[in-house]
Amino acid sequence: MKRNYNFKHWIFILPALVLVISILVYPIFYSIYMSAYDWNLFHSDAKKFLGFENYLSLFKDREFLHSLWLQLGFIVIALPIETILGFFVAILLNRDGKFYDVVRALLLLPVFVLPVISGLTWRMLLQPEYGMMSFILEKLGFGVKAWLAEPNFAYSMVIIQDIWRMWPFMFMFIYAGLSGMPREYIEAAQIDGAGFWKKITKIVIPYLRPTIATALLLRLIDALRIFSEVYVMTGGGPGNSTLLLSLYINKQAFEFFNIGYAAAMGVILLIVALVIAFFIVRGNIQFEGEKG
Amino acid sequence: MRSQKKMKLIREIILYTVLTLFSIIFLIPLFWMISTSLKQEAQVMIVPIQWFPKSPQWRNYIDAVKAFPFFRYFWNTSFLAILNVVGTLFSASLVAYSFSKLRWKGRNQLFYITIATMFIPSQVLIIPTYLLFSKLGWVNTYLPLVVPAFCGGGAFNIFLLRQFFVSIPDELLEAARIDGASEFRIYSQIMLPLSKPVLFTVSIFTLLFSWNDFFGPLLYLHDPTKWTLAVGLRSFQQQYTTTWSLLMAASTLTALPLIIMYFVFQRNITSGFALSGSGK
Repeated sequence: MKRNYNFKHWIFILPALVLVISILVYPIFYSIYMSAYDWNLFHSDAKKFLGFENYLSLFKDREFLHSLWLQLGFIVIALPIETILGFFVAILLNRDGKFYDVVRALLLLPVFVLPVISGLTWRMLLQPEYGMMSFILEKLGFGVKAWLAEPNFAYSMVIIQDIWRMWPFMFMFIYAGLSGMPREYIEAAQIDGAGFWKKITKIVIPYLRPTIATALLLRLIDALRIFSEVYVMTGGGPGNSTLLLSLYINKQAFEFFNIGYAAAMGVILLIVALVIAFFIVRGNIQFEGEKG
Repeated sequence: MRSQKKMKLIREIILYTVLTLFSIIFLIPLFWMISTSLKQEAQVMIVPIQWFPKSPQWRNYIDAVKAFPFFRYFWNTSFLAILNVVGTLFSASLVAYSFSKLRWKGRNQLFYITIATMFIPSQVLIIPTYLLFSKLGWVNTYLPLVVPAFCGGGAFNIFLLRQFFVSIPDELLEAARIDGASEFRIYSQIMLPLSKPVLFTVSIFTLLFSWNDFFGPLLYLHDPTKWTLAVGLRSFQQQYTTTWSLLMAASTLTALPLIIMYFVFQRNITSGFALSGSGK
């Protein structure tokens, strides 16, 4: 293959270039540029150069630090639980039979429910007294409360809502990986007389590492942009106890119109995202087929 | 031997019970949504709670559809979703083809950069993109929600397609090239037909993503007649704050199309997960 496709096949390459320029190069550099200004969405002409001042203010802005903390907590709590839940259910369901098919199909359902609907439904479940969850909590002896008005509880419920909706996503990935696992793997271990835990830690987990890492990455990208569920469930409240960074950026940009300040937050979020993604990818995922 | 069989049976029974209980617990929120949608409003707020509606109020569904322009929003949402799927299938497969089957300078570098776009939180992109689109006069039109799909369709889809394309032997394409087929012909007549499963997966993910999208329509569409179901539902909630029965009827109706799609294509969707999970 010595032909030169450079010019003739520009149509194949063009969309990739447009994509990279329009969603990578342009927005990132523009965000960095904006973050150096005091910039109002509706008064672009009156923007004032600040240098690094936005970043300095960020680290003094308690609301920002709080929302960053909430976002990190959300990721660090929800994603591992979703993974562990998905992993063990996948192992339990990795069997043939009508019953298992039905259970698998039903368990995946929440993934196909719109986030907005999930948020609304959980809001209803947690209505004081007549909400189903509140009712159960009362029966369990927790008393009657407006649960979504309790800061810590509201935050936990946002996380539980996400686990409820998205653990089947992890489950499906892990299950698919598991059912593609060669039988000899398990059998070899059985001859060696490996126990259940040993089998899992020595064979299943190493085999599934790329799969789990890929699924986690997709979840991470999703978790960084969580919005509508929280927006309809708690609106960020009570106070700002569920105002994750993804919501706070939106608030600064499109309610207070401080787009320079919001852009600075976006840059910080980008750095956080890259650091987490680095740890997920490192040693777990290789991009194969790089020949040529 | 007999006792071993017995043990196996007992284990099976325990497994069945555990899984059944587990499924029930996780399906309760959905059950509650549907149950509420069929109750009289007075029944919703009763303590102790009623698990099943006394006399199912199917009228709630008619009332819900009348209470907000459900069919209009349904049409808008479907329209956007279909355009997104078409745009993504077309542009992402073109790009994936050039990343896997064409050779050009800087190809691998650009591929890595494209993959890197996946990790950029959308919050970073929103503000510059909003400024750009508003400068172009695209606010309050469907363009900001559609055009990006035609520009590569997102890194994840390109990645999925490329991984699949790599597995198709080059010899197949070489043979066609020797016969004098143009590159576009090879792409459309050989590559795409061979890639149906992964194209299907990409369609499902794109559909799901577009159908669920809340932030995009909220930000760009100011005219209520242009809204999608997700945004429409939110405003429904603001208007009928505690009319849970109607709100849940509207929610059930909104959730239904995707759930039906899921059950119809369940097998393909499952294998789609397998495809994306094996992306190494």
